[in-house]
Amino acid sequence: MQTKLKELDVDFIGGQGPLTNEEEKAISEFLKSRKVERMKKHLRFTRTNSRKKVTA
Amino acid sequence: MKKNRQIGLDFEIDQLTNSIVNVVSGDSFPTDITIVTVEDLKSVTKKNGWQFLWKTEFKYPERDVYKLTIVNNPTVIQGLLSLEIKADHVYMHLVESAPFNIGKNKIYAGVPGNLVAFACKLSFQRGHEGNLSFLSKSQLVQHYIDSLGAFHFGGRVMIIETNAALKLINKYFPLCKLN
Repeated sequence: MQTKLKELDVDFIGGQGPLTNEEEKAISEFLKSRKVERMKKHLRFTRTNSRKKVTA
Repeated sequence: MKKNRQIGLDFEIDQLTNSIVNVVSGDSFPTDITIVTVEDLKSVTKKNGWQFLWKTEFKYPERDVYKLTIVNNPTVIQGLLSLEIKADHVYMHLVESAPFNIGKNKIYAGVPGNLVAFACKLSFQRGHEGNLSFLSKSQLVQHYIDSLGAFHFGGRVMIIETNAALKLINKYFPLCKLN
């Protein structure tokens, strides 16, 4: 499946000041949880791969 | 022929230019992104058409301000980027195209995209896996989702995660080999 990005059509981005402490904390928590999800997925995939085939 | 990438992304690089494009002629020009100097910012004023106070941005010690220029033409600033390296990602305070690159009569297209892609690249280089955040006005949220692959985290916060960052880097820095 090809996913093409639209052309970015803005003259500026941001300019609304810094992140609040709450926003920063929430982002950190989110990134941490995403990392944990990825690691779990990777472990599941690795474990599945290492299982040997058993023929009856 | 499509190349199979280890990361499983499947997308087309539609043009092998990293650069910015002259809107009238369609010519593309390779670009440099470098740290700005006090000298550079002398002409970056509201009087000259810039919307934001870049000398103020420059003064914050925790922020880095970068300029985008065309190769071999380092004195003409095409756009500016102010960012801050956080503990686990890069936060983009501000990106602005030069006054002659805004609106329907812009000279060069692709300036903000180049700068965002650079910020993503920096995030990888600092060990933050390409993760980037910035603040958005509500009316632009969907546009950032469509054009940057950003994710609306909630409120005014947008996040560009690893896969989206890789796409942007491959679009704007195609000679950069990423797995």
